Amino acid sequence: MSNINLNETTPTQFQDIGGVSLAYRHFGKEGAPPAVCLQHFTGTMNNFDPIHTNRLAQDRPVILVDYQGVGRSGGKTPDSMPAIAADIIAFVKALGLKKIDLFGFSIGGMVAQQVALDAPELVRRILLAGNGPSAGEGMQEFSPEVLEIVNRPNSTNQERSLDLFFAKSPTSYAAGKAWLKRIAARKLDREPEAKPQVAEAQLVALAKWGAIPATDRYGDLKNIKQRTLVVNGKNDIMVPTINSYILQQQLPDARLILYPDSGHGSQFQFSEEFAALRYAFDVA
Amino acid sequence: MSNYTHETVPTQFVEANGIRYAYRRFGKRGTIPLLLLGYFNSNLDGWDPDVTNGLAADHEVILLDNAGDGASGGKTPPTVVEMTKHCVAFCRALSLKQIHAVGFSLGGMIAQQFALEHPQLVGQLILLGTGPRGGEGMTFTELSAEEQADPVAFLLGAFFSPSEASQAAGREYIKRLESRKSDRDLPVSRESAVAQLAAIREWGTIPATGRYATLKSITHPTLIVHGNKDIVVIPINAFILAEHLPNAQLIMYPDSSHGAFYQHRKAFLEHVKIFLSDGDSVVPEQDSIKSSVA
Repeated sequence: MSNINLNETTPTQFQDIGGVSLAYRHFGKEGAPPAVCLQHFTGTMNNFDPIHTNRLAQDRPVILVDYQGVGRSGGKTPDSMPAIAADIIAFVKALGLKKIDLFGFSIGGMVAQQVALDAPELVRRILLAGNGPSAGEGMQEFSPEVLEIVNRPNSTNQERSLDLFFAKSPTSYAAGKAWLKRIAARKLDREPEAKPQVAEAQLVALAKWGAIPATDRYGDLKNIKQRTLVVNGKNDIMVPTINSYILQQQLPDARLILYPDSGHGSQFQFSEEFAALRYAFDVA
Repeated sequence: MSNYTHETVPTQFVEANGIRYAYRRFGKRGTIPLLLLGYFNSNLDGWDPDVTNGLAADHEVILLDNAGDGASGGKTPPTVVEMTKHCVAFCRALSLKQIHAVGFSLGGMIAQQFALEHPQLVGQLILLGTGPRGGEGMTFTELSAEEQADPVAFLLGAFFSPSEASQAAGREYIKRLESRKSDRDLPVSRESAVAQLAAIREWGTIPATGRYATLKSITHPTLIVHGNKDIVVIPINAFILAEHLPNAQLIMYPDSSHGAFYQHRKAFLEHVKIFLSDGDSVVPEQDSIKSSVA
């Protein structure tokens, strides 16, 4: 395919959303609703798997975007999912888009759910990877295991990502290293790593998202009527895997896939298979 | 590729240990056969032709009646363990070196037992609408040996969700079941149904210790497919299987019950294709890199 390298070669652009500019990349075949890709905790656009984005780009436009305060986006990262979602909605409207698909990984999936709740008319389909509902199981705070990895002294982002996103098997770890190589393939025009403010604000947003309400714990989910695909690894330590099951059970039109021997970033480990699977769901 | 289809393939018989097993074999020759093991109170005609013909495009497909079921001889045993022995005897009688076991409901219980006891005979496992031994709510008290009295009401109620879309899919499925006109299987006898019911209830009984302990020994690449509103084997059982089997992936379809893979058969056939074409489900590191920068 002539467009196979778009993830590596597409320049970063900027879109104003009322005084603040968001960094984004837009590539792929025009004519279908774009897939707007929303990134994980403290991650930037750099971390999307080129296998997915390039595969998606063969059939439709792909838009990667960084939240306020992330990478080269202006402003400060908001500390709630509704506020982050409001930015994404403003961004989509500023680009003049009428209908999009949302592909959210981790926090990105929580933002995607919020966008679907707050602007349902904009959203056609949703893909939630490594994700959970508001007030999900064990989503009130990170587990000691996760906190130990996050706070490990002298470790790099890459080392932390391996331990957070992949299972503790040689196969999963090797897949993690392969993913790290793939996301390093883009050499020019990379986004800078997230500043400390991003993690601080996103942790607050996560705590708010995880808080268990007095009544109707998963009540919002019945209002997300879009066709949804939920994907996770069976050993997700960041957003416990049972939450993917809960999403599938509570959302009106969701499919679920769980992969073996994998964690939060299972879609990076089963990248080819996942790309094919997405296609299978699209044609079905 | 044999020219036979679900509709035209003749029923054959093979004998082992004095029992004559009824089966149908068709599809792409020279592949590892898919051994299809059916649900409680069903015979060879209970499989959806769209699914069996779809699978037969890439694989040889073997439909089997367990002992005492449909046109098979012998007596249906009252346990999954004994039913599994019949499946093994059947495979040996046909000199099959390896099969992929595809089990629906009761058939999925047999498939698990088969893989556990004869790991080398089984390549990959596909578990449809089934659960682990001693799973959640697997008492099957709502089932009876008289389900065949009104099969249409039973299938629409148990295999499909109450939604209009699912019920419509159910009615199409029931129509498809009639597409095979001649050489149809014998009905399931009441005696066989009673034994099958005993077998699934015994399988569903929660053991005193080590509830899901055997699952870790089933290391085969496994695809679990379940409906999100399965009322026969509640969906949490599919999650439990995925959690405890070392190498299983789970796919759950929306707005569907026990017959989810019939309702979502196009997606299901695609998913099986991806699963079977990628046995160990692992993308080698070098290939991944190549494809992203090629």
